[in-house]
Amino acid sequence: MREYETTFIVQPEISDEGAKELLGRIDGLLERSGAVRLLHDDQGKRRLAYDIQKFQKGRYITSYYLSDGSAVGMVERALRLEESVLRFLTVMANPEVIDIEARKTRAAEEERQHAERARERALREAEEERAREAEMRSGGRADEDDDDDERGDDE
Amino acid sequence: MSESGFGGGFGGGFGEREERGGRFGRGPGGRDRDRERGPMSVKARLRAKARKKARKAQKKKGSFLRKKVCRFCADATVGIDYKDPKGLRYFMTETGKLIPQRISGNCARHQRQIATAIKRARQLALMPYASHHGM
Repeated sequence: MREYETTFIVQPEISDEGAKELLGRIDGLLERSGAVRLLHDDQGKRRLAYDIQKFQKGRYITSYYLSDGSAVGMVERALRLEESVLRFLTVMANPEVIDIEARKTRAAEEERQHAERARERALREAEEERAREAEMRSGGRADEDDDDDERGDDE
Repeated sequence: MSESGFGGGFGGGFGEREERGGRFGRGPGGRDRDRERGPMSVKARLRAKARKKARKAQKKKGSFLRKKVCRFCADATVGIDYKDPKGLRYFMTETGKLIPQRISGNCARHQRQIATAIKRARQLALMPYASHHGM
């Protein structure tokens, strides 16, 4: 079995339910094609280095799975047909995974850590949102640089 | 490439031909040692010449030029990941170009990995193809 990672950019406005539904569909596809799903890593919203379809931000999600290769085409086809997906890229991460069970347990652990990080990020974002609203109310200039990277807007 | 074309670009092609004529009398070794390793390609000759020139220049300058070490070979814990634009930004100019090996100091293998990673990151809009700012 080979390990693949497919990273895709979803429109930033997508709801959490919408994203979950999309990931659920990918899970179904993987199962049908005999692949082993490892984990989905939602990296949250990021500023894009250049506009894609007039979007300046995107939500980055990476799916990891083991397959003999037949699942890649199916996943990519599904992403291509999905309008909310702006871009995707599949990379073979490991040409030969021997101990599938060990990789699975490691993936479960990674997924747990990612979920924790996502929760922290959501909390932080909510707080920033509140701070911004307060600033707006007080008549201050709205801070446009609201993505979570450390770069400013002028970069 | 033909022999005559090579001689023009390289310089000293005639001198070598004379030497080759007188070689039969000599045994292996001596001044003709290099040629005993078999025919050198044009590129290999040019590379050898460039190396010699670089060595000479370095001797003249003393230890002014520090030998660069590939940072990925020096520290095996640093990985190269196309999903990590912060780590890759060091190998890109502000205008979005790849920094060449001779300046970044990477070894061939890691420079290749860096280049692939940056190209992947560009596809995913994690890094720019070109910067349109500051023009």
